[in-house]
Amino acid sequence: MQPNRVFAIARRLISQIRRDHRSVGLIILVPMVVMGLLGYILRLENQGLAIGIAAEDQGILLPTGARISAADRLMELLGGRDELQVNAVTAEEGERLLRQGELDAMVVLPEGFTQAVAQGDKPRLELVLEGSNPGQKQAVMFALTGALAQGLSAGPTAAERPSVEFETRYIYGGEEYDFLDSFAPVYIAFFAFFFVFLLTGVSFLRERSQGTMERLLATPVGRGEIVLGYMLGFGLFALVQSAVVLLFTIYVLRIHHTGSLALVFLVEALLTVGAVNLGIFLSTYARTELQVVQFIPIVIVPQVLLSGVILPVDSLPRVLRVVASLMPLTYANRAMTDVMIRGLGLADVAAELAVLLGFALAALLLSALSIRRQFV
Amino acid sequence: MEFSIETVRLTKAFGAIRAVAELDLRVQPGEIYGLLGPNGSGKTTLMRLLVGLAKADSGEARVLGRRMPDRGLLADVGYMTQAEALYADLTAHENVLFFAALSGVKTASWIGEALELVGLQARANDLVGSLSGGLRRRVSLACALVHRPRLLILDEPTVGVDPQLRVAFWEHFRRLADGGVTLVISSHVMDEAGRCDRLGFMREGRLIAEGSPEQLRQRSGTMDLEQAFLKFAEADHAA
Ligand SMILES: Nc1ncnc2c1ncn2[C@@H]1O[C@H](COP(=O)(O)OP(=O)(O)O)[C@@H](O)[C@H]1O
Ligand SMILES: [Mg+2]
Repeated sequence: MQPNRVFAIARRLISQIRRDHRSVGLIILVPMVVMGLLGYILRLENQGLAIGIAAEDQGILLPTGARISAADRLMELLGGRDELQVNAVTAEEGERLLRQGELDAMVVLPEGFTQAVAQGDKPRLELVLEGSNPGQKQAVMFALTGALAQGLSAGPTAAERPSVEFETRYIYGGEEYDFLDSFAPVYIAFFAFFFVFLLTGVSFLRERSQGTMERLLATPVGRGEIVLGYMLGFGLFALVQSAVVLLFTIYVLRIHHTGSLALVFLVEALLTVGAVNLGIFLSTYARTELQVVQFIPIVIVPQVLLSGVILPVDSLPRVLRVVASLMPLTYANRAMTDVMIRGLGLADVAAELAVLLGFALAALLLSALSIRRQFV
Repeated sequence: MEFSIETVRLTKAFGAIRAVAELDLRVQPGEIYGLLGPNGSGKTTLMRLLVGLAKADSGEARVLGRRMPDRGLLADVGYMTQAEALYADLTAHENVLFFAALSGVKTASWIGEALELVGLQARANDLVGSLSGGLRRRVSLACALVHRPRLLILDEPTVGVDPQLRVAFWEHFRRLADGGVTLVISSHVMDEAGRCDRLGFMREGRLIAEGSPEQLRQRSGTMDLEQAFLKFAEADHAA
């Protein structure tokens, strides 16, 4: 063992890394960015949960002449919580807003609710949930039980506090939907995007480093044909991969789904075209396979954090929602959830599909141009 | 008489280095033309210009009557790169098949014949990554000629190929030329250059002498091509 040789090797490696400014930048910056984002997001989980309160109850008139109503008290208490956004609605209005995704939950206070509380009865309270995200149920229930315990504690002792019975109803999905159900569609899209992006990036890089790209361009094959060939090859691969993942999640994990599988594959296909071309495009900025891998924190991780893979996009603050709206995975996730959980059809996800098509075409243009760039 | 290759003041620079400098080259159909010159003299760059992989800064290159770059023409051109450009994770047969398909080969038997020509039938199903350097050169050559092009541009095809096979390669090159195929072959090994019909000595991107091996030996008053090249290079340097 010769220390000088060891040092020589170490020195050489350090000078190699130092020359690679991007790696240094990535090693230092990306962990900060990712940790920052993750911390920010986890702390603001469930912010912006929109709750509608529909009061069919008129409240009661006190002997003093004042009117008190449980609905008003609930609005007040829930409204005081930062993470909630409370609106007074009518039951029909609330139902419509839930379907449109404007509301996450609605609490319906039936006729005579305040009376029942005052009499120490056990009043019923209807909770209507949007249902595609099970996390919302927990959050709404948590806020609601807290507010009820605090607000309806009319009596001096715990025993005198009325208990409320919940009757829960779902617009989409239902009690049997769990976290996995809501995340499966999103993960299927994510996996396709991730692997296709990585595979294309690495293969295209190899194509250049092993000289076969040069050799390809010395045949009658056109750049467009190369790009299409890649799209087809990896596109098929992605569809097979998605099919396997889909079958696995449906039949082995037994997730619930209602929508059309053809539409699911259409979403995947559009997403894959984007991923292949993004892989080709970005691989021209990499000289080694390691540098292709370095694109993961830039291209993949933000999409995982912001596109709805971890948390619903709606629960993000405004700035991050804007960032999310620039990411193809956001639209794929929305379309996948609409199709698989809400059972919506082509017309309902047409907007998302159009945006995905736009992303795919833009990436296609970039990748075709980047192959031209290699021509010196 | 139309030339297979005709360049006029062809120039390509990389920064301050003129890799090919105002070069005039004419190659006749059915001719084996040897490009000789030390490393860095511009042979590879010239060949890349001829197949349209590089764009000339000035001048022009006409190949089989058409001005390069011209992608449509490439079905009639076979190019073997200096470093072998193969897919290591495919077999020899799969590599040849792939390039055959890109060049529009419709006859399935041509693939087997190309492999046979380079003596690779026995290893056809071996992964290229597991083959030795010499064997990979052969796969590379098979890929360049599988579509039976009218013009073959071979960049140092015999590097790393053992002497016995080298003889077989040259016999095959001669057979192709007799059949009307034009070949441009680069080399920095002088001893095999004697087999070419005509030779061009390259130095610093220019042709410093041209002629049949016999003519070049006579003009330089030397016995072998190596000596001849050095003579011409000295004269060029002095000029
Ligand atoms: N892509 C390139 N970028 C920069 N310089 C290059 C490039 N290709 C070739 N050169 C330079 O051009 C000159 C001729 O190189 P080349 O054509 O490869 O010569 P040869 O094949 O005879 O060895 C050399 O000085 C080489 O460094
Ligand atoms: Mg060379």
